[in-house]
Amino acid sequence: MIEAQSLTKRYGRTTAVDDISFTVRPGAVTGFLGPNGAGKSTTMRMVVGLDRPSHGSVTVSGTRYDRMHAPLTEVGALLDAKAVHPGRTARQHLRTLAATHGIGTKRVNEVIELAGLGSVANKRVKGFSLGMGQRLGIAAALLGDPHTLILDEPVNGLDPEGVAWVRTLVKHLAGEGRTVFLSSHLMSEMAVTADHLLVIGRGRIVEQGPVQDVIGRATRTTVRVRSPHATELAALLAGPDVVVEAPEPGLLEVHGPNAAAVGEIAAAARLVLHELTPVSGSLEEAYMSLTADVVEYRSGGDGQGSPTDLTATEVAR
Amino acid sequence: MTATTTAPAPADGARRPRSTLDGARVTFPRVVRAEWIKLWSLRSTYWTLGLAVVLLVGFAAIGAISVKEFPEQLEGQADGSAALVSSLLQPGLIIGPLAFVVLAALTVTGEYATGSLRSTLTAVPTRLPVLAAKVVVVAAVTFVVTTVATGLSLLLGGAIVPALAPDWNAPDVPRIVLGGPLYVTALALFALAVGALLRNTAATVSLVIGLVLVIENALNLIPWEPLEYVRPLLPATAGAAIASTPEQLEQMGEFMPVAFQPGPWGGYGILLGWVAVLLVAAAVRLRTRDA
Repeated sequence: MIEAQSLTKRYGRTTAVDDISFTVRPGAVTGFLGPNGAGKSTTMRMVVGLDRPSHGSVTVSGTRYDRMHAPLTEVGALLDAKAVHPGRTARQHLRTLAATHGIGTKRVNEVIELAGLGSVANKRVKGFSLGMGQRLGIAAALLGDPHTLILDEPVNGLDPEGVAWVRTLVKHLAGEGRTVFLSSHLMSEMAVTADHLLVIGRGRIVEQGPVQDVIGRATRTTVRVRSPHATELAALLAGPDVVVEAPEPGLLEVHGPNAAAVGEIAAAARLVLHELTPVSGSLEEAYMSLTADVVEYRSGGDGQGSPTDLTATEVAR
Repeated sequence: MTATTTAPAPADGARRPRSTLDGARVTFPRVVRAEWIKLWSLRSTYWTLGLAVVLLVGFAAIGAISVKEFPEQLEGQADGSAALVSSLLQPGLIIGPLAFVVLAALTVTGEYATGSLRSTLTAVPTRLPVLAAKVVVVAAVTFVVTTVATGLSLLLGGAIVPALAPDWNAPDVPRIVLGGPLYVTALALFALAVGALLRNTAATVSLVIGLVLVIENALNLIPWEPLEYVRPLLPATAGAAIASTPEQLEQMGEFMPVAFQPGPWGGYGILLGWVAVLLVAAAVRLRTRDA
């Protein structure tokens, strides 16, 4: 269980993480989703004490990371696959980490096999591909058999087999009751891997909950209607929460009411429909709409200068 | 192939009996052990230590050969006296320590340069044991290797010119012999602390080597009276006194006037003082800054 309270990180005048509170529960894979620079890595670095919060706190299983006696057995973190001296072999890197906790060679060999590094364990990391580096990072994270795993972009650079391996692994670990907190810029990967989502934009949590709920809430219902009476139907549907677009004659895209409501309105007016299709939103759409909202909110909320100028500034950043 | 062979593996790895990890926790001796493994798993360690031994012993051999060729240098000196022993050992102490400066700096700056410090600090989030363990490992390795090189120098020197073999009962001889390893060890820790403050290999090595070879010598030679108060406090000049004979210190005082002469142990204390202050500053920086 990871609990963050009012977590804030400022670098000079830039606020990377802005007063966020969240809980990552055990027994599920929680995806941490957000565009580059949204504050994902900074948040994860604060969890393991590499960055100090400017304000607020974050604990794992109720304890601050830097107060743990055996941190590697509590939290396994892959934050940066390059956090390895390239002159050491994979095995030597794992041995140095294991030595700090008195973890023996047996466990080092286990995680080498587990991560599929058996054939390259005695090669220097200098020659590793990005994917091999990621596997070494995952091996290091698993070294202490931790209750909580924090993986920043773990599938970055992995081949399709590797991606499938990570997906199976994290689901399995969560199935054992562990807490798995995983960030990725691959939204499609999140949709199939994560159970819960935490969406971050510009340092703030903009949405959280089960994956399907987040997609559902963030996507406006869209209904595609084909009718010879499109113009009349559009007039009947018009209302304050309804947007009707007509991409081509005889075709409407209705945002607001669901398919049933559109069908009933059409039936009441005795209008013929040739097609009535609910178009469900994708995670990608949800993500775009969520992060777009954040940009608008921040632009207007700064309260100085004209909104146009601020939008330009936000874009420039 | 990978997917099919490794997919079931998580089950074994994750469900393995917890007994393997019983007692897993961070202790200071374990952090020292980790630093020990780190040091010996890098090729740069073998290169710098090999170079250091070659420099220390090589300069002693050259000194001994020159005495053999020009034996008039021995006149007026008792066999195995402090003056003769220091004439054998001191040339190596000008360049030899620089290899240890590089080694000591790399133990810290190498971690910043490669990013491996983030892995290290994730394993030891209290951070200070890491710095302390590096101090222990660098001090031990530097002292042992310099002592071995000094022993080899004495054996080689005594073999070439028997009068150069140390007379352990002569005044100051044990201090001169052990003074070299003590000086080099303190200078290595000085470089380690500077490295922890600057977090950059090139900056650290050039600053420390520049200080030892150029800056301190310049300050010693510039004839400006207020410098008399600065000279006794210069870290390398002060520290090197531990490996100098009383006569050498007296001669130095004649053409580099000093406001006070701290003596061999006092001078070494000044170098250790520098090391302590810089290590405290490095510890504060390590604790308070983001990694």
